Amino acid sequence: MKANDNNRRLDTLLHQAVGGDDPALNFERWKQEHREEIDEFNAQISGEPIRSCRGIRLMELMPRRPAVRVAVAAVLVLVLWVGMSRWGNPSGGLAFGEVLEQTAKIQTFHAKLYQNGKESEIWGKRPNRLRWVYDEDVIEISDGPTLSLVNVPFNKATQKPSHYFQDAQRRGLDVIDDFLQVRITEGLSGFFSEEPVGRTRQEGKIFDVYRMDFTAQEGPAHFEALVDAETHLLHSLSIQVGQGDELSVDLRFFVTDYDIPLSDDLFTFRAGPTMKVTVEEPQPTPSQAAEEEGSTLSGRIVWAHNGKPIAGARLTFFGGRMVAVADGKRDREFFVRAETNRDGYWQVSGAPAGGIRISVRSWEFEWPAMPTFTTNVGTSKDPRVLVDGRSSYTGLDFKVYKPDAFYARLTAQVSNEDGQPIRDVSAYLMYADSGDMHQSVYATKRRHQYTRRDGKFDDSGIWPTYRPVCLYVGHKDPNGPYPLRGVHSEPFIIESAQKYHLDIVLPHEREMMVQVLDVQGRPLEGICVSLLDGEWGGAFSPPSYQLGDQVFSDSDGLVHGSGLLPGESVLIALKRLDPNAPDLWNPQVANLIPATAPTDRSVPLVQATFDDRPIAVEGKVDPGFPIDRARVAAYVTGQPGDLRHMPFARVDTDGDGRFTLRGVPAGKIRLLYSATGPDGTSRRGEGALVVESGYCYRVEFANEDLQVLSRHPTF
Amino acid sequence: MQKIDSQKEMVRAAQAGDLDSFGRLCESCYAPLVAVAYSVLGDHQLAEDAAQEAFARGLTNLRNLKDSGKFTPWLARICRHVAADMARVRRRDVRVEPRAKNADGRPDDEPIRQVRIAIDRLPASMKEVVVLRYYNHCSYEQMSAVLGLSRMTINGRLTRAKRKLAKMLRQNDGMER
Repeated sequence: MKANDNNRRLDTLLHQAVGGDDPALNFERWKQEHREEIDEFNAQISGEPIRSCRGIRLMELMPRRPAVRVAVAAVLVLVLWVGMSRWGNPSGGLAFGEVLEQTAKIQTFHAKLYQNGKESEIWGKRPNRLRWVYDEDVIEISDGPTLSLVNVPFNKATQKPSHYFQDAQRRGLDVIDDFLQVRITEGLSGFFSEEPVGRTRQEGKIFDVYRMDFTAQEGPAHFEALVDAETHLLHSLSIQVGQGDELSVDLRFFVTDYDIPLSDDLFTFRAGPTMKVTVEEPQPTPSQAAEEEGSTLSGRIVWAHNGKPIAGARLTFFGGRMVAVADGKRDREFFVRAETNRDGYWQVSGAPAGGIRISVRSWEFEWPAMPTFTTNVGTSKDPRVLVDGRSSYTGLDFKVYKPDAFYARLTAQVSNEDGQPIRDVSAYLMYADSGDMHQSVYATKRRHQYTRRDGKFDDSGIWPTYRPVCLYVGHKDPNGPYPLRGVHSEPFIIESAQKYHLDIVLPHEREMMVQVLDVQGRPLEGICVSLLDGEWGGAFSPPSYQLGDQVFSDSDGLVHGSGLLPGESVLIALKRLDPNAPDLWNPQVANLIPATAPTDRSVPLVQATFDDRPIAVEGKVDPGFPIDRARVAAYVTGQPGDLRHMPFARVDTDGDGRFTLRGVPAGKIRLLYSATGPDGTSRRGEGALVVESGYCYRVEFANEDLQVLSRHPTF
Repeated sequence: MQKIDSQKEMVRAAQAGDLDSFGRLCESCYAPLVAVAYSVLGDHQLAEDAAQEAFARGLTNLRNLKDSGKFTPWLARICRHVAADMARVRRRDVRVEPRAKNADGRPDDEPIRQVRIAIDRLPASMKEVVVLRYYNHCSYEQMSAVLGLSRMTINGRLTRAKRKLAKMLRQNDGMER
């Protein structure tokens, strides 16, 4: 009952507090007061140019005598020229970044900020003083190095180092410049080089209008700023992100006054007699500790279309080891942010050894920020530099593209050997040098990944690359209507806003019958056969080493191979495994035998001679520190096809670093080790050697170098 | 449905140049728009000025309105911006506290003053529904038409606003515990 009573009482109070007369509109009177708008509306409807409300026609005023006409025209031109010089030309106005820099000439300011329904009031005064009042309940007073945070309802205050002051110092600015140039325009740096789009008159003043519409992650975004056309000082700024009433960001900022006298008391914190004041000491962050030493990185960010610098762009650097931070959480050792200066340059220091990722973000160029430097590892989306923790790295430059000048378009026509288009084919781009995926390619703008009846791809949203990529095209269903092989295109580099077209022919799969013979020419039963072609994969390929994928020769030594590309560079890898307890990575004997798949649709019989004399490599790894874990792998080189990226055989060492590697094929191999110590220290080493069937090789890795000590027959 | 259709027809007629239709539309939504402006300005006279200015801006931009069914929310949005501009200009000129007094200049009763202060502290979206509801007793249907929100949303927003108001007033001892 009490709740209901309270509710009724609240209703009554609200009626009394808010209730007003029922207002009624006198539209006739409204029309009399708004004749100009009505005339404009009527002009729009009739499609006529807008005339002044008195209906004066310019031609009626023109004199009839030619000499007088010329004189009047000259006067008009003069008046127009004087008017233009007074009004200025909006298209030749200051860039928005330059407007923000105009605040350097003011001494004080007073502003209001409406952010997502909340109102706050800000005062600033040189040097480095700021007062920010939120809802009259929370007051921030930054008197320079110290920030006092006053909570009025709770009658308490906290004093700590002023982040306003620290940020401003880091950027070499006064706090009020930092506030007006950087803080209030956070995320809008991509807009700094834009010029006004027009002019407007409000309250008897003329303002340059800066406007931008773009799509942020949260939805459509609208930015508008009014700048006093005479003083070039920021007057107002509004940012709205979202649609209709569902705005995720609704920010409006108005500078009410510049250079008004402000008392120093406004920026001085004085605790009341009963106020509880807490003083916080500064806590060093891991990044601050790391900044004392380490590498220095620097570069510049510019617009791609005109090369102009972008001031205030935000960069994030992320790298180093995972370390414990506050609250028991773990974070990267190096995590810092930086902004570009007025000329677009940035610099950070203290980067530890290892990979450092750099990202450039802003609402406007959320995606199209491209590094122009060659990275060690990175992709265009996520550039990464490898630093040694000591040296300086310069020239880490970025270009920022407008979205419409950024994405490339890729079209491809996929057909079979008979020239017929192939439907239901997927495609993706992969880096030619590493085999990592770059991005999927779509057949239609509605993001269909598979070709339709006409066998075409048409993707206009392709990310540029600065490393060669190739397009892999493969059939959706390997058991589909045609036994077709997926293929890679030739490598190419994708540049911004360029068009690329590829004609892809998916060949029919080729087959062959392999007969395995011993050195005396007799059929060998139980030999595991894998077929591998230049595209890294036939029906059975060695890297998988799965039992289910392996096929053994029958009593006539025969194996049926399929799924091959036509042509050369086909390898036949033959291994003998113990079928009961197979060590998949250490077959007893392995041979690599070149062969050629047919170019036509025949199924030839290919005889392969198997040399069953085993090869072994044994030895020791000594990385120079105690071993926690070490592994040795053999890569085959100098063979047709491409086996360089796949370890052919590998084995873990024991605690002393000793190992025995079996199943190495005859020929040239690359031996590689990686070792990790108990404290996380790691080391890699590699070397090459040529091995022959029937021999065991003794080797040793001392630090990073391979030494072949001796060899002896395995029989 | 009949009402909505007839309003759409009036909007289309106004877009075609019929000023009388525009006048009828303005008259029908005048009171809610004044309430919208009042929620920003807190002054009855200024709120009426803002609503009338919104009609002027609406008229010159009427042909840009794509969906004739959203005429009232569109006009309300214009009105909100006009009111915000006016509020900014007014605050720049002189700092006053109009909500502390009645229109005739007499000081308010203390509880009513407390309620006005509490309303002032509400977020803009909540303040708007409270003022619409209690300024001239708009129905949920009218509020829905003006704000372009569903009745459920308005009900939720109003309930949360009242709960918040009650809490603020309790803290100020304006209500019984």
